[in-house]
Amino acid sequence: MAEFPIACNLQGDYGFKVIVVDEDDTIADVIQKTSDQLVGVLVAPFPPDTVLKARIHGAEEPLDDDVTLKGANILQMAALDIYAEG
Amino acid sequence: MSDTAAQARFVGPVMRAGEIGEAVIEAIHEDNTDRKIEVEEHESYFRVKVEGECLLTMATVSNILGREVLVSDIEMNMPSFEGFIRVETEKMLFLSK
Amino acid sequence: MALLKMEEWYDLARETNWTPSYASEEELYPETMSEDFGIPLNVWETFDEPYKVSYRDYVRAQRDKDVAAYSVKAALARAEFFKNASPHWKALLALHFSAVCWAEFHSASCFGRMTRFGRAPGMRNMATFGTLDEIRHGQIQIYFAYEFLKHDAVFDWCHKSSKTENWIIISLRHALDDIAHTRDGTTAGVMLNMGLEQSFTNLQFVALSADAAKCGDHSFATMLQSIQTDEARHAQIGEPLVRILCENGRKKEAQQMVDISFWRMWKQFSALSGIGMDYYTPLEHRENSLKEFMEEWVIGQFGRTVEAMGLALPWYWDYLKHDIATFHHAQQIGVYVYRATQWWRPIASVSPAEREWLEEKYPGWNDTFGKCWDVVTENIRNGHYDKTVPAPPPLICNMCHLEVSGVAGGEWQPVDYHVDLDGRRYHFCCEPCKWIFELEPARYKGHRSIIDRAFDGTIGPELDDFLNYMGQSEPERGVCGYDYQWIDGYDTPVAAE
Repeated sequence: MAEFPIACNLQGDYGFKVIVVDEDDTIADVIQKTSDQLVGVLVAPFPPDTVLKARIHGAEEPLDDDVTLKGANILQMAALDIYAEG
Repeated sequence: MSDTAAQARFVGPVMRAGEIGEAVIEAIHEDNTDRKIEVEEHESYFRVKVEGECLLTMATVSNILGREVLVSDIEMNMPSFEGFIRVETEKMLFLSK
Repeated sequence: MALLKMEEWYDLARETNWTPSYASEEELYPETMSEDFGIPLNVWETFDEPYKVSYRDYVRAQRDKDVAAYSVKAALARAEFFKNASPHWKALLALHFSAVCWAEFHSASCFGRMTRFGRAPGMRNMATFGTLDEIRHGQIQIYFAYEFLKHDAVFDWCHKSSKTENWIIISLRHALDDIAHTRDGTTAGVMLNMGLEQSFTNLQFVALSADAAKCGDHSFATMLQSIQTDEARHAQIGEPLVRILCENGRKKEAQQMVDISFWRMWKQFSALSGIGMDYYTPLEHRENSLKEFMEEWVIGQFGRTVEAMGLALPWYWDYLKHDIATFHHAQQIGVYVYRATQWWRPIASVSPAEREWLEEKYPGWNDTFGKCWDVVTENIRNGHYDKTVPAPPPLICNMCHLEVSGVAGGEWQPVDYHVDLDGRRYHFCCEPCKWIFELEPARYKGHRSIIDRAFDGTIGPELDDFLNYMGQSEPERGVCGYDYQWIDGYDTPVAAE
């Protein structure tokens, strides 16, 4: 278990935030921690059936929800876009 | 070349609104009779824009105001200008290049 | 009445170069302080001041400028004006004075270096007046700010700010250190004059003074314009420097100096003037938007000057046209929601009428940045004040040290650039900030942003640790300038229905 800061921009927000996660967290955990801290603060709640995905900033493809940050070779302070699928 | 450079460049002082500023507008019209002149008014300043080159002589401003006006009097009321300036005792010249 | 006209004695009087016999030219002008770019001294000596002034006339003009600005009547009127000013204008004054006062003294130091290490007598002559000008600017503004101190302790930061590690101050200091303090006299001369004084000071000192005049703050308006009359003169030191560089095979270097310094200063003025003009100026007194002022003074006037000098417009000019409509809107959200990290009392300035103005000036604002404000507004309306402050900190650009931001809401565009170097990731808010870093990584790589410091253990883990590190005791932490009462602007139309 190690503190792992990562830069995330949740869809709708005006800029990147530094979210502290754990290197063993999965991408799904990172999405959850980010939206928990920003939905209802700077971003309006998404429609009920929305599926949020994450991708390395600038990449086309989303990251697998189940992979851990360590497993995906994501470095501290990497930048992720978190967006609504579809 | 960009759009801005392709247009004929207008040059001249940006003056604070007031007595000196008003006199400068009048003087520039007198000193640059052959050139196209535009005045753009704002709340606390105005731009005097002369096509190509703008001459401002202290003699003309002094004559308009009925008292001696020096370059330093103009400076006090000129927060900005467009063009390349050349200053001598009796005149200010604004060049476009 | 002078016996001789200035031009009859000026050229002779200013010839202060001599052939050194006790010290070598290298010792007289060490390269780190006075880069010659391989151009011989006799070429530098051709520097001819575009804006000539005698010391006699200089003193006369400056005395008259000061008499006008310092008049007792104006001082009394100012105190009264301030007491009755809106939180909008108080926020603007606090931001202006605490960011600008000390920066003027930094400019004085930079001009001092040009005065000593300029290779041309004419350059040293102009820089001497420039140094005196900048000292005056520091003094007059700290004096005006001091006058407010008895009414509002926020103005303590006009003197204090530069000694702190507050994140906004780090941002400004990093930019000024880069262009004004850590360059040789020649380079600093081009960078300070072209990147700051001929381009952006017009924005803060002439354009903002138009807003101040409309606001009825005539002494602030007069002071701003009085300062700019000096800038208009001494900034002309840049023109002959750029021309000498270009005519002697150093156009590429001159272009780069302009491109770097202009961008560094744009980011500062985007936050300072952008928030000041589009949010802190009371709606009924706004003359133009930041975008309109930028189009007039910078993209127009400065752009034409750059090209007429024989340089190209900076390579990022098209991107600048996008940035003038977006960057400061994102920064304004951050400044409000992270308000405890500001020493002044930030305001939101997004009541319905203000939003209408923003939408008119920046079509699409409601559907982009307005979407974040919708959420903030709803939280205030429901009394959820704690939810108006995000828990996670923002990502900070490792060049401009402002927030890494893009476009919000329905047109969401996440923006981030990065460089990996020596095991560290550097983030940038835009391509030009990254480009500047990559030109000279050794120059910038050792600096740590406030967020880097928060995560490397320099700053303790609690919010209090963070604010104390930035020099902000509890009363010095920003709160909403309207105590959330601006929300009334939303409730009124609802009640009317």
